Amino acid sequence: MLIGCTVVSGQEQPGGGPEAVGPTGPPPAVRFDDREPVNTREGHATLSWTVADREDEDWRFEIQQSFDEGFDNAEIRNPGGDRAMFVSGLPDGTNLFRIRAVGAGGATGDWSEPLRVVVDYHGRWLVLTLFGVGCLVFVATVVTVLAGHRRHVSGKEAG
Amino acid sequence: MNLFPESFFNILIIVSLVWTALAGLTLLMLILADFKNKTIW
Amino acid sequence: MDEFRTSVLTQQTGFLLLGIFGVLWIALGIYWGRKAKDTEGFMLAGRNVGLALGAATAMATWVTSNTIMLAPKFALQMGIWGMLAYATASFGLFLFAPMASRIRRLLPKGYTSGDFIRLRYGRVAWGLFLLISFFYSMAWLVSMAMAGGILLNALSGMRYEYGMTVILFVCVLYTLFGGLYAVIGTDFIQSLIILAGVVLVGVVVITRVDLGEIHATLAAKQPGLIQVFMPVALLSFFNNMFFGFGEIFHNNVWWSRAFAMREGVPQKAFLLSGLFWFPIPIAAGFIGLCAAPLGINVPDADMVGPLVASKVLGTAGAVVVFIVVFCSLASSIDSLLAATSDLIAQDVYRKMLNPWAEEAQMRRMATRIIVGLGVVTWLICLPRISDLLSVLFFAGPLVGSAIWPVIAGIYWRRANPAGAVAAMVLGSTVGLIAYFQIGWYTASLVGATVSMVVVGLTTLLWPREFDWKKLNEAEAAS
Repeated sequence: MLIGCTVVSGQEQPGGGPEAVGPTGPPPAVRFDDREPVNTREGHATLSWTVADREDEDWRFEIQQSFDEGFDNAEIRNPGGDRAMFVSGLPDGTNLFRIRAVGAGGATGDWSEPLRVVVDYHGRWLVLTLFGVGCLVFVATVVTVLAGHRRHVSGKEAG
Repeated sequence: MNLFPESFFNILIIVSLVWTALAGLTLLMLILADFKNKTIW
Repeated sequence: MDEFRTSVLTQQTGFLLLGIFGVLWIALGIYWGRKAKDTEGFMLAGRNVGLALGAATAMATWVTSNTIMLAPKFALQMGIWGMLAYATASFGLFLFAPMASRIRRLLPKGYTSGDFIRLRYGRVAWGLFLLISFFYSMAWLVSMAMAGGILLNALSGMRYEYGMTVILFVCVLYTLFGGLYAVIGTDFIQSLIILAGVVLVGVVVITRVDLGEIHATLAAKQPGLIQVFMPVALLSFFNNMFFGFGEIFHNNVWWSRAFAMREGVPQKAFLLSGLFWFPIPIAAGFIGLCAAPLGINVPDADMVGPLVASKVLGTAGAVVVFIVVFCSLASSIDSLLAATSDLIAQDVYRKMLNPWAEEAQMRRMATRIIVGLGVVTWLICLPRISDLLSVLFFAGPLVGSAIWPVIAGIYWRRANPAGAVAAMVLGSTVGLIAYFQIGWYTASLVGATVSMVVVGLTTLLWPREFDWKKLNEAEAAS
């Protein structure tokens, strides 16, 4: 079936080795490629980022996700050595993300500016209305086919 | 926020796997039956 | 530039697998092709296909690379509801079961869905229907050939162009040699491989992970995915279903199968194929939910399936995914090539250009069209323009708008041509507006709804009696 007819695009495999290895020296600054807040009605987003310098080296990254500016109760996410992360199932509201690079021996760089992912799910009335319309069309389709089939079998609507 | 319970989650996944396996077995049985009755084509 | 830096399999393994299965399909195509003695044999496998092959071919055609790849993505994006929404695509097969038996009776000598629309609604509706159908079929072909090239590249590091070319070449070749016999025969073997592969990967994943833990981690970090009220997923629920209805009800891939099956078989075969297909999006999809809880970073949602499979199963997992993907691509590409070439040969060549075409000419034409379709698809896919794919999404509202003209045409004596045309035009237009205004996940739903209202109203207001006998062209002519 065609639904979505999505094609994958190439990305790195997840990397991320043991803590001890990695480039030495102070890890560089990292920034998200999106500067403006990301708005989504679907609760998912792809975060990608760029390293300020020595970008060809195998830095690992650490991402924090939080609802508050202070990142007090942050969830930690580990994208390993990848330079992108797909996040989904985010709760309604403003989700904040910040990232830093990790080098040899667990040396960490500075946290990036936080990126806001603003989740605003479709409203209940729109969802329920369209869901209801879907139910109606579904029932109408099934009834039409089955009723037609009965007439067909009984020979009333002869072919 | 209402979440689907864990039991539903587990049952959904396990049933789908068993169902898929049964689909494969049914296909094999059907082709054997068609082969015996010479009704494959 | 988008080539994978690291891939799970080596290129040699990739080429070896492609080679083994490619040769197998072509050999089987030649073997089965010897049964095709005339056009009817080539196009419709002698109208004598049995239950096992009938059910398998419908199921396998409906399992595309998207089912294998997109089901995990749907799960990752929309959670449990996403998987359930995807599974509803099987409902189209269930509903097509009774329709197939009527189609057989109404058009005992029919070849294509185009035949039906032309005889039932006349030339204007027919032209519009063919446009929608070609757009959709090309969209499906191109998306699969592209997806094939990109996936094989991702899994084995093989160049995109090579993978895409080999897949298309193999499918064109065996469809060419064997016609629908080869398509249906290989579909059976491909069905078994797909089902076994999905079960294998799924079972290994659940033995390696603790489902309870997955659920707990999701609840903490990605609650949207297991939420009962998940807005986007609920919106896409019926949208998916109607997209599937539209695809199945209108496309010649399905009609040609209804014509190809032996008397009494179509209804059972389509019901069974729906039952076989239903669990696959869940069985293949749930691994997408396991990504984050297993600590697997997903840089790109499209790749979540192979990523989790190869992470959990290692090289063996990647080999299984590779084979399953190749089978699901082949089982759909071959069907589309065959059915679309029939549509062009029968509806365009015989009906518009050369009504007196002889048997041998038709056969020659059919083979040329298959090659032509393959070449056109290849040319479109070659530059790997991924933006192209967003255009292909438009197929959703278009096929959604064809649902009601088809159903009413089959079952309602009073459905009229003007209503069918208006339903397709308005349904497509309003569906496309919804696509841009609300989101892709509402376009087919809106298209189908508008088409239903238009067909219903026009049939009520301007009923026009139709003589079913006109559908039986052979009888009407004599």
